[in-house]
Amino acid sequence: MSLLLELGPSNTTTWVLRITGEALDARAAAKCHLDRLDSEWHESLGRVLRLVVDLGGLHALDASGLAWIVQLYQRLGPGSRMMFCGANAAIRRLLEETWLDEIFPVLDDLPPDFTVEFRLRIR
Amino acid sequence: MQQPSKSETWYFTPFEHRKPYVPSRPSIWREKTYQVLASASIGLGLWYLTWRWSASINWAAPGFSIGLLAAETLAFIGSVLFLINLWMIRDHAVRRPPRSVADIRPWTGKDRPVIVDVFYPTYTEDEELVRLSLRDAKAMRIPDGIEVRIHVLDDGNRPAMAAVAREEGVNYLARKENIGFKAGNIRHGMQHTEGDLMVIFDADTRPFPEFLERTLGYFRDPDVAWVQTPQWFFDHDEGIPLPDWLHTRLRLGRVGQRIGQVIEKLIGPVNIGKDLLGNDPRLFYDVILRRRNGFNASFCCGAGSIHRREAVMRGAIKQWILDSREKAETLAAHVELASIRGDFHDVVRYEIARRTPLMPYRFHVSEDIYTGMLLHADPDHRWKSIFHPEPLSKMLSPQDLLSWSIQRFKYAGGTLDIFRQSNPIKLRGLDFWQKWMYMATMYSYLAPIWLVWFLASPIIFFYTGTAPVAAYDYAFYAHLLPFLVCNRLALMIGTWGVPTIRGEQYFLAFFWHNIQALWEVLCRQPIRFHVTPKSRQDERHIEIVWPHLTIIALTFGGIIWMGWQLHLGNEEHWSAYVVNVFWSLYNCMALSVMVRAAFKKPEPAYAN
Repeated sequence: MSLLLELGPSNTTTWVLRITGEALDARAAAKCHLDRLDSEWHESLGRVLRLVVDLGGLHALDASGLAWIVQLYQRLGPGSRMMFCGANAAIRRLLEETWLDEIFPVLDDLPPDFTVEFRLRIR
Repeated sequence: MQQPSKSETWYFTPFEHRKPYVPSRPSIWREKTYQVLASASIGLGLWYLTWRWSASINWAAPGFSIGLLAAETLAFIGSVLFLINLWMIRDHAVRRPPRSVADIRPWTGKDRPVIVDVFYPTYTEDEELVRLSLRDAKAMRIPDGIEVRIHVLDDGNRPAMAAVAREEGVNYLARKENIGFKAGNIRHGMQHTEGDLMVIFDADTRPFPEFLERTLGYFRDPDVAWVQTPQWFFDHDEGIPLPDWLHTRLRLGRVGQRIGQVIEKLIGPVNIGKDLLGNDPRLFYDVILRRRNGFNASFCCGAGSIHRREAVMRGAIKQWILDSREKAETLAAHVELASIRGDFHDVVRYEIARRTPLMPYRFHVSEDIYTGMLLHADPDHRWKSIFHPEPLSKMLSPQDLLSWSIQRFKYAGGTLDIFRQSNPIKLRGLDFWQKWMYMATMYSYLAPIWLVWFLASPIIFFYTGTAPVAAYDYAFYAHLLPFLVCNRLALMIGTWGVPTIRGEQYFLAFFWHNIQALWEVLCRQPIRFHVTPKSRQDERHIEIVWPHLTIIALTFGGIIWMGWQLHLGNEEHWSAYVVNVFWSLYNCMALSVMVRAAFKKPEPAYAN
């Protein structure tokens, strides 16, 4: 069971975080605790104004995983926005039930192309 | 393994063998009898109050008379809430523990054991005391299909605590700061762990071997958010046996001892000064909280509880959304230009969301009850809470009046503050009964508003001769006594087998702490957070009970004064005098328990 996180720019303001794998849950969230990420991640995140989280390749997400995404959002620059795309039906339901879709739009669009700058694999 | 010599010298070492209480056995006949008596009591109470408001006001002293009547009415509302609380016992059936994660949550991945994190948050507690708890936690029997991980969450960041954790082979987690106290500490623990379920203990919680076997099965129901077990204190003071008390304390010698033995033969063992601080948990856990199972309103009390991580995290995310929404709306309301209000709201909201940390447990003095209430109020998911009636761990109680006061003050202030911030009656998502059960808890902390009238009324009568009712005549007794008798009978049946005397006494004696807590909450002062001292302090605490001593002195002075006036023939209200003497003596008896506790020194000789 592994999880792949890929982060990179699509254009000057928009970045994409692609999460691929079985599950982003409490176990994965503890393993990639934000304090453990390299400082380069944090420097880049601090400059992001618009983050698209691509969940197309993610099978399962739970509230602990969502909390990890929220905390990632809080590392972005001032005035930044975040949105989801590619969520499967179960994940979509979770986003609705936790009211997260109220501030983070859940898009039907395909994710924009991007250049992968950071890659993190969790086993 | 290192054996600390200190562990042999704890004050509670002689009590280690004590066994917890057995939960009272439900009886359908007792329950039905109770329901009849409780209904009759509510009816008779309404009849009495209707008569009081319509025919008994003493118009010669309207302020005094109506004030007391209003106090009686408020007390009656509290009494009704309590009677409804005790309506029924509906325990949940204990189920066998889950065998894998698929038994407790929808699971599509590869099957694996259920991971249970056991958290021991600590700050200043003696490291050796925590060691005792860790050893008992390690001795818990682990059902098949369960993986247990024990973590010490040390807010004190102490090398000695880290050493104890290492020696006991458990995980040690510390943080650099201690923002949010216990709630912040648990949040930090959650971020570094991954368990499906979390057991929350206090530093002094010593679980029994069967703790997990008896509780984990409830989580087979995917809607169960948390399970609370009773907090049983094994170090309570047993007092002095009556024969010894008569022999040594009253200095009656062998004659006194003999008299004591005869009395005990007739009515069973009598212990003088038993549990002076009212730490016996049965009235709260075995009666009040247990009966809330039937309303799905048993609340979370912190230590000795097991939580579903998914429920806690969902609650945290929703609260985060709600908080940012409310704060942004409040700020946007100040924008006068309607055309830009919407844009302003959006910008502010994202910024608030970015800066507001996610909090699995509210940073609040009473984070446990608050977090639980907000989960119960989730409109999209009907989370269940379960109270498991049998004690599955032992803990230490506050050992002197000062530490007791700090702890109870915190409970009172915390609960009242929740009431101020999130009134359960207005909280959307709670169902009708949940609203009233949470309300019952909060309402009970408003008690000093009416209790001061009950304490002051007899004293005012003794010194002024003014009675709060028009006449202490036949009509008065005919309306009051049926209600009082019926209410007493209902409570006796409703709490059958559980000692309630200390609870009743402390309900009154607590008035002064309660007034102070109410005042702090009304003034919006932060409720000072203290870690309850767990060590015995051999000091006397007269400064805590001066209001009690004043009321007792005024009462006895008043009884003598009015008695003298009656003797001289200056007054003629003998009937009123007798009623008020009984009433005020009841008050003094209740208040005196706290005075005795303030002067009490531990009696190690009678530890049993």
